[in-house]
Amino acid sequence: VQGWVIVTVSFAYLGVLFAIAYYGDKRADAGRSIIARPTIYALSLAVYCTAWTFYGSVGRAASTGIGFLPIYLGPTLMAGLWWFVMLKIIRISKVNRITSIADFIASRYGKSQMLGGLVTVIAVVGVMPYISLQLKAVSNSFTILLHYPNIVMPAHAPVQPFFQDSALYIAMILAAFTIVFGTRHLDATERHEGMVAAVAFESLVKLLAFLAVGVFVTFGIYNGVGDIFHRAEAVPKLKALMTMADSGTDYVNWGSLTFLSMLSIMLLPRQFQIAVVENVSEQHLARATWLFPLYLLLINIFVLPITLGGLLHFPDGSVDADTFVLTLPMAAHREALALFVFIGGLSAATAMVIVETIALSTMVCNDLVMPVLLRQRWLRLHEQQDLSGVLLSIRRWAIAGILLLGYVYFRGAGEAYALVSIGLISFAAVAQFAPSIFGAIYWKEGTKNGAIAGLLAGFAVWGYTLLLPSFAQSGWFSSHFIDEGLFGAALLKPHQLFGVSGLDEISHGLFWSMLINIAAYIGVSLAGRPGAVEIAQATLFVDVFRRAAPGEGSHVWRGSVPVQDLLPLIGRFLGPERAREAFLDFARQCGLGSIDELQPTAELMHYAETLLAGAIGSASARVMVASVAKEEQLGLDEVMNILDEASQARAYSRQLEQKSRELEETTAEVLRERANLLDLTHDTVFVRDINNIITFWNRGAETLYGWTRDEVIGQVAHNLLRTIFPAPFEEMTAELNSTGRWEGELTCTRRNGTQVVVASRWALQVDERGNPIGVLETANDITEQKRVQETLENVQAELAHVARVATLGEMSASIAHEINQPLGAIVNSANACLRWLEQQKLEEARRSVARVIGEGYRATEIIGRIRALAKKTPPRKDWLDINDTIREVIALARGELQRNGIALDTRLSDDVRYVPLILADRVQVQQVILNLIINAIEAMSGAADGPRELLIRSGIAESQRVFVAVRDSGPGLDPKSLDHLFDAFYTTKPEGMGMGLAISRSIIDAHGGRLWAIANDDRGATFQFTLPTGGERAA
Amino acid sequence: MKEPDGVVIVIDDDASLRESLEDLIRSVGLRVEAFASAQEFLRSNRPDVPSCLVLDVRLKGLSGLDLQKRMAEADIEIPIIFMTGHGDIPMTVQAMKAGAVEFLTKPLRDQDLLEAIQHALERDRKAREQRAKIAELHGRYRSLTPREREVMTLVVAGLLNKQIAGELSTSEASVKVHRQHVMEKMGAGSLAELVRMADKLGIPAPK
Repeated sequence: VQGWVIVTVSFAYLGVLFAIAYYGDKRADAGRSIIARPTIYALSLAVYCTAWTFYGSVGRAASTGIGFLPIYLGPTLMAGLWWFVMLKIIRISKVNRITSIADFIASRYGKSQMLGGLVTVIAVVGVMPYISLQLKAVSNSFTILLHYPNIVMPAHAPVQPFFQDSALYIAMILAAFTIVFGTRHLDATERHEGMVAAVAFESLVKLLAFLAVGVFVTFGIYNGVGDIFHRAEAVPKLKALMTMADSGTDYVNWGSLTFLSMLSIMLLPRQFQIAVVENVSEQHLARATWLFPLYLLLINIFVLPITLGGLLHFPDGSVDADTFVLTLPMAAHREALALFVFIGGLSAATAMVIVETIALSTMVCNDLVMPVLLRQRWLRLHEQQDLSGVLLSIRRWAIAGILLLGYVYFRGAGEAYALVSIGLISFAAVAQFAPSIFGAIYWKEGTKNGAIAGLLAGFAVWGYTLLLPSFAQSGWFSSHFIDEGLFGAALLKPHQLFGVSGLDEISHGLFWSMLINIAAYIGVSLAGRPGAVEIAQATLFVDVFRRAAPGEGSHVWRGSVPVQDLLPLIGRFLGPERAREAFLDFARQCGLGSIDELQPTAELMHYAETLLAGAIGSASARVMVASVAKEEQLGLDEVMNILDEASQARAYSRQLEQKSRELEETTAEVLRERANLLDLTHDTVFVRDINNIITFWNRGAETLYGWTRDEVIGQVAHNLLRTIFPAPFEEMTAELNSTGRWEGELTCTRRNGTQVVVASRWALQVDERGNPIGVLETANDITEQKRVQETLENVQAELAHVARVATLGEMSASIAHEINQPLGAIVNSANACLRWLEQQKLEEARRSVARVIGEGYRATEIIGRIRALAKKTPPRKDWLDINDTIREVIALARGELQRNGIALDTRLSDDVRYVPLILADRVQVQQVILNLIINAIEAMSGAADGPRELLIRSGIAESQRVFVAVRDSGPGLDPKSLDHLFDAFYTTKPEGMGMGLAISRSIIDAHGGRLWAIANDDRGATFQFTLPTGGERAA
Repeated sequence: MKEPDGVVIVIDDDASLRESLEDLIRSVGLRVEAFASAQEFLRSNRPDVPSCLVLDVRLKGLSGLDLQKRMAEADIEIPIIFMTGHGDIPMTVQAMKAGAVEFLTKPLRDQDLLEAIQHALERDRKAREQRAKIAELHGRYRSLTPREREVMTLVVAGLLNKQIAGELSTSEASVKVHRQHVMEKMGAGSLAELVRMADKLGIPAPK
């Protein structure tokens, strides 16, 4: 292939990318985003698959078999956790306008500029090898393709002077491309829609290219996967590749690689950029959690076939396995395919380089350069009207600089390491962020100093065990210290630190760096105390989901700055026009017409801060806004922050306690003022503080309870009122604290000793931080209402009783039979006993007497049950087992069923044992069941033929209710009568009163249940009722 | 020949009542077999001894009266003592008409029940003896030749040997021989005895 063909195609491809990006940006500006789709989000995440994946997977597979897999296994595992971890990071980042991983860490730990800078340095140093890796891949593939149809390994090609080195030009082109892509203008959210669209497109291209090679090698060169594996098996060396080596270290290696890649998928600057900063909607995560692993699966599916195919095709080892993807099509003289593969590799490399450098340049600019520049008074940056140009140039230089550094690393160290090993060193570097990041979102005790200590320590160990040895192996300096240890100390051998041997270098480096990192992070965090801003940010991060909605930030600003002062400040960084637009947006959100109407509030300052944070990072933004705000060093709000979470533990300082007391008094004052308004109503209102001391007592309360305000203020509320609570007070308070409300009936005692029943409502009063400061109680006297209700209940009970007695009367014949049975048995057994005694057969006599006793009890039970139904009892509720209740009724009705030749089938579900018992009046529920059974019997006794079957079922209905169904095989329901079935005095029986079903329904209604009838599909009807189950009280 | 002891069969679906009856009946030295339902009883192998049924009128499934009908249809001749929870007169009449021995009301007086049982067993014993005798006669009758049966029919009808010979178109001497054989085979001592046997066998007199 002619060099110019490759170059032309490459530029054409970059042109297409640029067109996509340009179109994406245009659409975004017009408000019609093309990337607001979950599939595009998932595809853009595949920026994870770089040239390293594209070429390097095969290379690694050639030396370790399936050892290439952990790099993809980790992200797949992590994807499962995204919905918890990533969602939280995204939410935090959106709320705080986080623009990079450095910004994230810096923001969490008190908006520390130093921490942001540190993270940036680690990221740049750590990721540098990774970028150089991309340059190496593109340049190698270019070189190989250039020699087509000969296959020449770049390592054996003569070394070019740098000005003829393709890698340099590639770096320059990529730098130019990235600058155009990523830094056309400044945006407060630091999002690049066009870039994301292009990256998603590139993900498709590289996947297709790889699949194309895979299909070609598998089916074009060989006869399918089976053929390749079959042939490979014949070669002992290849056969070994196909099995997992059984040495222990391999598992350690697998484990550490999986762990590393799990972290990398979240912590690599470009992954953070794509997954978090560029995220359009949190909902997109849902699809990414399965689509992204699927992508990984697809791009790995042909790795082994290509590897084995390549090893079989080039058995002498002259061709580097890293190049098989390209050299196999070339060896088969497939020019077009080879070119397509080159483009695929180019896609993988450019996507990575673009996103990575943009992410890094943002960090370098916001967290490294700007903080330094802003401190240089002599530059007079404070006075400059428009800094947006400066910011953009800083970023552009940063991009160029990063790529240049990458190139330098490539020239110096690139050839010493295989592709995968270089990548892993980068992975291990970004893994150092893990303790600080995970601590940031789950552990409030983590402090700035802890994070700095952890990062520094981890980074140092990483440098010593992984980076320096890689330099040494590249021949930059003597590798003496690797073999002998630093200063000849064996304990300090970089690959066998403190004598730990037997691990591969990555596992070893990872182990020590993470151990020391975590230990330093936790140790230093626990040893020191966090500052006010750190505590505020910790709460904001860890409890992000407790906040109402994204967009609500921490209002830690004290003092007020008019918008006229803020506008120029923001304008200096974003450009005056964008700043004006942004503030106008905010004004509109507040329902105002123009910027000038904006009031100098804490919200306005917070908004300004987040705007700035997008441009220069949260740490610098805070300093900038502070410079105009001149806020007092320790504001009241910050004190509240300190009180907020771990206040009791931390607020040792006298001064703080003093301040907090003042604060409580202030809030109590506000509350009292608010309550004064309530004096105007006639309702009873009083307020008690968290110690239940009455702090407010309105006129309504004076009237209802009889005490005057002066008498009750300072007393413990419910001691005074001798309140009888419906549940343990602790439970009620717990409900109040969790929901903010409680409602229910209380019985209180007035001053004159009479009791009063009130419908009481409690509302929890909280301060701005959400801490409870008191309870506002309102009460309505419902004594009279209760009395009427009780009367009504009594009347109902009486009516139910009448109906019960009537039913029992109807059943008298059966009931007599039920009692006669045991009596008959008693007489028989007693007679038998006499005879046994006459014959001196004592054992038999004893048995007869035992039977007499048993039957005596049985008779008593039956009589007891009938008495219970016949007795007029006041309504009382017990915890019932519905199955027991049903069985008792069946025992009573059995005779009646038998007399009418009805076969009874019961299906009482054991499930009802697993829900709490029902709280109900046993007699009344039994009455309903009995009624339904008697009704069913009557319905069936009218029918001349057909089987007479009664089925009684119990079970669980929806929402934890129990149901009881009585199903007969009678003539069924007349559709006309359905509407009247439950009406009083409605009956189809000549001798019936028509009260049974009406009373049954009123009983079930009174229990909060439902009773209804349905016609069966075949014949007969089913009467069914549900009852609510009790709460946790049932044991 | 001494008949074996009788067996009382109790059918009641109420387990405790059933057991108490078993106990009571056993206490007077009788053998008892108990069943919870009529079907169960019908499926069982009935003992070939004098027996009687003690039966609840209201049984689940097949009722007492139904069982009585079934047994009649199947020619099972066991005397039945019915028990009922409360005097149900139409039911009693129906049962007695169908041949029940006794109808007792619960709670049972032990004396009544035991007497009824004794009575029923006695009755069954006699019925069984009667049935045995008739079976014996049938056996003897079956041993006759066709010609001897013809002769016997005419003899018991009161015809003289001469008339019989004329009727059968044979000699008076051979009629005499046949008649002698009949008397021997049937074990009849006199003409009057043979006539009673024929009556029991239901041999119709020719017109």
